[in-house]
Amino acid sequence: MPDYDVVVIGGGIGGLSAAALCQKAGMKTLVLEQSNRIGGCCSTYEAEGFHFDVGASVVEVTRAFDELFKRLEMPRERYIPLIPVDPIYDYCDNTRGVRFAYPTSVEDTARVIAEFSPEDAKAFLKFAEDYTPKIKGLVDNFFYAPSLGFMDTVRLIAKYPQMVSVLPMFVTTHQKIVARYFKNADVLASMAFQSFYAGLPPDMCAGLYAIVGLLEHEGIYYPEGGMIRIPAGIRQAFEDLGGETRFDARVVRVMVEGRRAVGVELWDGTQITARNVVGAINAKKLYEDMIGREHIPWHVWRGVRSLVLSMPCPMIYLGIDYEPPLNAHHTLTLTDPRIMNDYWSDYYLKGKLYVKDGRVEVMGLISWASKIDPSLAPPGKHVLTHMGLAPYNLAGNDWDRYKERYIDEAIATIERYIIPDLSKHVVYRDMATPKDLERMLLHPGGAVYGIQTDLSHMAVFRPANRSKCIKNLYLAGASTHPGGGVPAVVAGGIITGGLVVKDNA
Amino acid sequence: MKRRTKAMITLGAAGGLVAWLAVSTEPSDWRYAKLLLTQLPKMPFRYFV
Repeated sequence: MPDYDVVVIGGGIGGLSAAALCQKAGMKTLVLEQSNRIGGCCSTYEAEGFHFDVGASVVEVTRAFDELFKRLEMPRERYIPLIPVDPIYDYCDNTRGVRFAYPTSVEDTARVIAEFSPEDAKAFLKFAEDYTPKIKGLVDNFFYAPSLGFMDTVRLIAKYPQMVSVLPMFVTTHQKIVARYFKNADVLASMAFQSFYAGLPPDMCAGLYAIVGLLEHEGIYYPEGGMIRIPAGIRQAFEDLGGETRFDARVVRVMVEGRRAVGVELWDGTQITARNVVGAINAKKLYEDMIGREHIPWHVWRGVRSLVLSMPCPMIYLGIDYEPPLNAHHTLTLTDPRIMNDYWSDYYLKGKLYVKDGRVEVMGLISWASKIDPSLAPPGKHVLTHMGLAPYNLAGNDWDRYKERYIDEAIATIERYIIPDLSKHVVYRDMATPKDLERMLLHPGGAVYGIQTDLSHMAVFRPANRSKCIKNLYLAGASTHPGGGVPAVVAGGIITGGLVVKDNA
Repeated sequence: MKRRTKAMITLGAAGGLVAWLAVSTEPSDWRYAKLLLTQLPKMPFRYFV
């Protein structure tokens, strides 16, 4: 008799969500986390009294959590208390004297835009009018539906005919959609940066990411105590239902007998048998390193080998001794779509960092979490994190050697465009390079979004939530359907948990 | 549903997708088009992952 009904590899939010649903259905479930901290890249760590979010820095589409806790029949508010974040983000370029922040309200955002571009303000309202109905089709239907094959797509459309209006968004690009509406370069930059959440430039990112800019106007939130509160809350719910979590339990192999998953083997040789195995880690790593070629048919193996990892997001963590002159939880750095697009072909693919006027500049997102939750820093101090975009392999250099210089360059970029004199106030600094993210979180290539989110890696072309070649093996996490980002990963966990429960009913 | 019917639906959907892609991609989307064209031969294999 197997030790467990379900063993979940990885204590990230996708794995925990699936585990909680399995446990709720009465299946004896075990979550194995390789580190001593829950959450993977949706987590928080402490250093010298500062609490830094490892990767993810805000929550959109809270209905994914609500859906999970509704299915668990537990109150979400008790497990994951969320604080509203308003304004949504700040756009700032001190070199040109440009600064504006978008409030949650669509109408107020249009008023902000109207102050410098009345034409784009009207366009924003039209954009909201055109795309808000599509959000329902996409988020409420596609997000929670399995995408195991084309028949699932057909079934989804048959059930929700409004999905037809969403399909063109898969084929077109994010840039193409926003460029139809916005003409002012700064407004365009503020509407195109959401492709960053997919780890792709706007002209290569699937058009459906354009709705993220509108989804944020439904409200964005930050969990009390840092992003770790999300996995900690789901874990608490899972354990309240009787589930078990083990830390420092690194899985090295999925045990397969006759194309059927029968358990896992840990780094110390311990074998745990289970009726079902959920791999809530990068799908490529799961198939290539933990299952191996010998158990996978050649055509599936070819598909696995062809999967392209998403762009890594190096993280910079700064503890500062004053309240920074920022207006919002999130502030954008260098998100001009032209720069982001050219960065991909001229720099990223060549292993280079972006250089402007002979200086390396970092692009991305500053997060000021202690603005929302002051308990994250000692009194009078604050935490800032910067999420950037950079290649995994640096041409002619190595991340371990380059790390300190990169932090200097990031601080210099932020000083130039957003926070003058920042360097004088930094009392703690650290960084997670793409190599560090790979070592800490076991994300191959430091790819926090898992697999690249272009059309060729979406829906039926993304690793399926139920393995198509190994029986009783399921997948969750950013590299599987519906994709990366906190709400999508939770939604993926809901799909996976639902499949495990249904298949074992 | 018969395997043959399923295969026909799959082929039809894939063909439709390619046709849709062809008509909706503009010359200005060359980077995206290049990405998809290089990935297109790999997509049938990814379908089985």
